[in-house]
Amino acid sequence: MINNIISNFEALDKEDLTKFAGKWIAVVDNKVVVSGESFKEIYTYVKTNYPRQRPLIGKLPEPTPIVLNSIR
Amino acid sequence: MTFSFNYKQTILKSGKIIYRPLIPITLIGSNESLDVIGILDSGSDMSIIPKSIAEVIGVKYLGEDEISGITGKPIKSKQGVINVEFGKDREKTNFQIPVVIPEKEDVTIIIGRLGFFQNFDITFQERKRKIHFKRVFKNIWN
Repeated sequence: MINNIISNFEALDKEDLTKFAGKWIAVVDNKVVVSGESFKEIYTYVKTNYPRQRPLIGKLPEPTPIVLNSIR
Repeated sequence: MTFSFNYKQTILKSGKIIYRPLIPITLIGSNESLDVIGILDSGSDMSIIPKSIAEVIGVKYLGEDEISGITGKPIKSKQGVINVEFGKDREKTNFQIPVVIPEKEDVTIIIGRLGFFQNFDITFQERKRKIHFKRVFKNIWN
């Protein structure tokens, strides 16, 4: 199994990530192969459909600005 | 020993384009290792991973605490320590980081300062939308 974390990650430069904002995605062989609402859903999908590949998985941030707010 | 990653683009609901400092990092637990995408967050004290990922990779819990999130309201969380692998090509390095695992499941992976930032001099180059990392070797006498 080749560790291709960097090529999977840099492949995202060519993807339109807007449609995945706020969603979990998995990248296999430099392509987004699945997106969904939960890590478990994505993890199960890639383990079933790409058992020999090593996926890159993440939840992309929401399409709204992120700010740190400690005001109580 | 330097390397860099490009910010990743997204379009906000308002229509504005925004670029975010996402990074690839391998989380290594007692069960397995997992390549993930995280937000590099210099404003976060700790790194955060969802409970579902902690269960898959196998995290040894060290205790419980509360964290204050972007809402400012405290959230109950477990604490643990995991190994990570981070870097590019021959410049990969392994080290430990403390993590918090919130009760709330739906969280983006955040890579915060503790355990991570002291391993690198990190430059956020907004103009070029890049993050640059220069490996720092800790002085074992300090």
